[in-house]
Amino acid sequence: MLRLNGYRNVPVPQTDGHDRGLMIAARDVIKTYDTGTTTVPALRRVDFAVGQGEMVAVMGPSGCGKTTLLNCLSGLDTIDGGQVCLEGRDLAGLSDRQRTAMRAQRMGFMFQVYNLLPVLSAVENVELPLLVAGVRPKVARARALSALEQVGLARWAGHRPAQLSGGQRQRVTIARALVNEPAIVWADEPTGALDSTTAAEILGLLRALNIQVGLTLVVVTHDPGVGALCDRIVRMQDGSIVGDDRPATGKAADARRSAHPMAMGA
Amino acid sequence: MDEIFGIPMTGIMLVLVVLLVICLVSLGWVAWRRPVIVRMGMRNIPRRPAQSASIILGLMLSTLLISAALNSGDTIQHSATLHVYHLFGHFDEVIVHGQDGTAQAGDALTATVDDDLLTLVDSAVAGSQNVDGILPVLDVVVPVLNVTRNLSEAKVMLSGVDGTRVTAFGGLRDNDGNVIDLAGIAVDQVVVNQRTADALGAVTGDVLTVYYDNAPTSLTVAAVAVESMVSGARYPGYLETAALPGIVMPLDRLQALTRQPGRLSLIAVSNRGGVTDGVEATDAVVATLETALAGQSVGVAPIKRDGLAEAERMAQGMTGVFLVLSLFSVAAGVLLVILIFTMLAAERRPEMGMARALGAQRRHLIEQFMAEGAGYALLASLVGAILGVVLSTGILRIFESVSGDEVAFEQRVRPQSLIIAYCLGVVLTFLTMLVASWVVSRLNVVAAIRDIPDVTVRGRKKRTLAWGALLLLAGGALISIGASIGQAFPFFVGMSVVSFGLALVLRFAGFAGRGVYTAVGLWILFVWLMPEAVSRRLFGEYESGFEMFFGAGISLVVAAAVLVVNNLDVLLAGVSRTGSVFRGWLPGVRTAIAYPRIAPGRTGLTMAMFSLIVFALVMMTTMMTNFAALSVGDEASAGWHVRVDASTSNPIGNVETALRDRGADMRGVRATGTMTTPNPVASHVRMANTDPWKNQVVYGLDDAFIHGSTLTFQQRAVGYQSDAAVIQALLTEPDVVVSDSFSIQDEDYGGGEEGFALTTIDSGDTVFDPIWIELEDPVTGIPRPVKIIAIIDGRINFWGLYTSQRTVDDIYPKPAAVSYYLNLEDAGNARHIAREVESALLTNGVQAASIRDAQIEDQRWYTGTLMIMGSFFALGLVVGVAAVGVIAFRAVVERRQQIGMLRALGFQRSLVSLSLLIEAAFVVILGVVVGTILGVVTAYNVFRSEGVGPDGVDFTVPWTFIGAVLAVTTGAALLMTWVPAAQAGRIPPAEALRFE
Repeated sequence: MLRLNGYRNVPVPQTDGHDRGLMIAARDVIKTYDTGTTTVPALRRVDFAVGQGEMVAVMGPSGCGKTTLLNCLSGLDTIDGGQVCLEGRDLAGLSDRQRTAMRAQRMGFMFQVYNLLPVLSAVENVELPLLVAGVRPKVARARALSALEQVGLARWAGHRPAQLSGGQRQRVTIARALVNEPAIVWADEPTGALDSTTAAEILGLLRALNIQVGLTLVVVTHDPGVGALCDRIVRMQDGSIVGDDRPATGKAADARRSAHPMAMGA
Repeated sequence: MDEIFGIPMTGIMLVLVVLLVICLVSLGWVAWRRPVIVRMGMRNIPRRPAQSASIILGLMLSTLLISAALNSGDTIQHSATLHVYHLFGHFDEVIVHGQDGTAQAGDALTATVDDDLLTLVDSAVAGSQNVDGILPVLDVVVPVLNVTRNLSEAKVMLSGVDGTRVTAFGGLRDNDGNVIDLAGIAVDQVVVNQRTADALGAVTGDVLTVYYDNAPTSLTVAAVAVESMVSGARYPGYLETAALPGIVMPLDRLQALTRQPGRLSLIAVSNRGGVTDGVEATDAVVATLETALAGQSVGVAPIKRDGLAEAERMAQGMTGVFLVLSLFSVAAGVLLVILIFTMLAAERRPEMGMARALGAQRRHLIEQFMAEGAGYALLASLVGAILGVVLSTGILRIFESVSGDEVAFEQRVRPQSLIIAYCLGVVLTFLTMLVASWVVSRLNVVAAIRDIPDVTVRGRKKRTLAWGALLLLAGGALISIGASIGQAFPFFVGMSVVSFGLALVLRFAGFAGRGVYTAVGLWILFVWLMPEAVSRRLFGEYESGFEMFFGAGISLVVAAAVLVVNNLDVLLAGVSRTGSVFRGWLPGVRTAIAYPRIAPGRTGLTMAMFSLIVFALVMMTTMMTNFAALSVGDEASAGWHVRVDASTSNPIGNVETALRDRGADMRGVRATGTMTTPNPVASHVRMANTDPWKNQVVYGLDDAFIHGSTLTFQQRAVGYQSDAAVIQALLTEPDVVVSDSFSIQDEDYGGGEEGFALTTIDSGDTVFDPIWIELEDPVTGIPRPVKIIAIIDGRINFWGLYTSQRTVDDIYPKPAAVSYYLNLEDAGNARHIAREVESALLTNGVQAASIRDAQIEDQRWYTGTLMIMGSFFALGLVVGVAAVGVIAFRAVVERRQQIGMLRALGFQRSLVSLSLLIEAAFVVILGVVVGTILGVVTAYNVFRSEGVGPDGVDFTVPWTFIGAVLAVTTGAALLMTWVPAAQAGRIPPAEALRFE
């Protein structure tokens, strides 16, 4: 089912991850929310690094700062202290315009609530990042259809999100996240709204992309099953990182094996 | 005002108050039984202050416009009533020359009566409880020169009154309130009123030279009196503001000076009581006098009561016009209420679904919306009613500024009008909300909770059929009524309604909605936009009035909205292609057009709001501009350049000889002509063999005038094949008359019930049988038959009936006014020649003016009216602007999370803002363009229809004015969008994504 034609040739990451170049390097990141009456420290001097081609899960209880970390690392939110470097560029040194352009060219996003534009069809949603990046409309349409085909939704290209199931919507978000061939995809609870079967299918898809094209993935999740599929699990509590595990065996290894093109039957 | 559209204002107020009480009691009942529902509704109001302010702004406009219209009427009536009291003072009735006991004040200008009548009148009212004074008066209009100051005035009313009788009429008083004893002044003295003193710089002791019958008489100013009827103030019409300057002297001396012994212009009657309450006795006094004066060839004119009625009529007329103009804005306001509630319902759909799932009835949802809406309506209507007073002040100030120095309004705020405006605003909003809430409460619970589109159920199809049948029946009934009474309004509205009924039936039968509704839209556009000639050929001939303006506006806009909504994809594809030219804008364009496409109802409603007001604005201003242009065209003056109005008290004879004798430089004067009238106010005219006399001004033209004019005719009688034949007939045939084209009207149009109308000829008849009419000899009352042989070209500014001077001399005793017309070699010299003429004929009391200048002066009135209408409609456009603001604010709130996603995907701030701006601009520009096209085409059709715009006149569109108003509107709408759009761009993406 999965075909990844046209995705740029990125070296397949090594499983240990030790000798890769750094995609993200964050040091002493501080983020505090001021509600007017109280200040809530969301991130407390967090150090975090992700290598190119790594698939990292960020886990922890609700309110521990997972989504805030994702937002700060991706440049969606500003930080109050520390430093975040993405592909060697310090985000604090970039203007909003530059950060936005960087998101358009180098990043993809997936969220629990899909965040598809309800007024656009599936293919229009998928081609939007390409149009933002200045790709010609005809080329953008072709690439968007191709991306939908890759996630098995070619037949649903003209449907609006309200006409699709939850799993289908999340596939559209995957196609949208990948269509501009990003260096990194941020996924915030990508399976949170899905049933277990669909969730497994979506995760398999993400893992396959990670393995086959060397896509860097940072996945925020509650689900231990998701974490088990990743190269690393970073655990957070009260705005701090309290653990960084590497499930080198088990499901992660199985996933790597099953995601091999030969095994997927592609 | 006591009435509007013939309905008593008190009755309207009571009905509206009762309706308001019903609304409030309903709300109170809900608040008592289910307070939580009212709380839920009310608490939504302060949640988003900016949005609530926009809603209140939109809702208050209907009330504001109604309040402004009613308050303008009240102020006009109040001011006009004060003016009437000030003008007439103690003059309640006047007895003047007339036939069969009928008379009008203007008849005093044409004939005098014998002072023997005075004895008769005195004895008739002797011992009367209703009359406290009788005053004989002789008036002549004369030129006056203030020898002391070397200042002159061409027309001054020299009035002779019996000084022993003036006390009952308020007497003569100076500015300090001291009584001036007219009977006691010296033989060569006169009293001037303040207006004369101002015009001539006259003070006590100055010597004035008065010219009568070309003989000078020296008179000394004995005193300066305040302006009043007793001191010679006379007005051509009841509500005219520019009185002639007045001089008063003892009656017998003026009779001697003018060699009119024993003659009177009028006998004034003062009813018992003061200036204001004396009018109540008018009926009784008129009855007494008419009985006593039967068979005397005089009539009693109740001038004060007629003046007050005129004030009321004028106020009602103005209010009616403003209210009709307001209808468009009120309709737009109703659409806004529907739009707001549709949007609120869309936002709260999941909440509503959940509430229904938890057991809430549909009526509970309705009650919640009604509670919230009531909060808005009660507040908005209050603000609107008060601001309406401010608006009416502004409108009347503009009116004052274009009407000259003499018009001044005194603001009058009647609680009754405020109550009506407030109640109407609240009740209208309540009813609209009720319907809107009922519609939005019809939701599928599951679909609402999941916030997905409703699933169509089969039951709706039956409803579709039922509605279709109902509309077919209603439309058919309207068509039938229209056809039977020959009225266009019900007929064409019926045509529109029937087509919607048919569309619903076809939908029930399974035809695709897009095709059906596109056909309906096109059909209705065709029906209302087809030229009159085509309409007549297809459907026959129908009468139409001002109501068609509203009917056409609503029908055309609805049709255009239906057409647009069903073909949005085609339009949006065009926008998309245009947007694609700017590669960087494309993503913004793509999202911008997606929202209108998925919400066609919202798009159609917003577009309709703009179209409706723009239609009215464009249509009215275009019509006004074209009518205004008619009066300044080269043809308007029939080839003349200078008009010289002369006084009959100092006859000039041959004007060319007189000018030459006085040494005037008349080089460049090519021709002169003379026009006279027996009565410049109106003479009695009627269609042959009909009973009541009507009013029309009759003019006599001398041969030089007929030869020298470039008179052309739009319609000619059988036997008169060309304009030359008509001219020849005027020169040679007795008793032939030509008429202005504006007399071709319905009986009750234009001049009212008493105005003369040519009812046996249609504007479309190029040839007609000669029309026999009768002119009344004012002395004998004998009717004189004459025949109308042509209708003057509508482009020529001639109003009335025109015949040869010979015919006029045969019928009427003497002219009351004479005008000389000069044709110049160089039209640009008109002002100079006019001054030359005035100077040379000073002692004859002439007033000369460039006709072109007079036309331009008249244009000021059109410009002023245009400004008032523009301002009124511009306020309606605020409804549209408010709607765009509400939509934009709501869009930002509704799409906050989506905006966060767009920012995450790489949309720059500017692109997010641009997307919202393009979306608003699409709807606004679409509305403006559709409204403009419909307005211009409708104005063209109306102007080109028979009896409206004369043939051969260019049709012009005031593009500058329209463009300026629409540019400001579009700019304001985009500004309203820009604020939330910029706000949307500034939302931090992470925060937006967190938003729920």
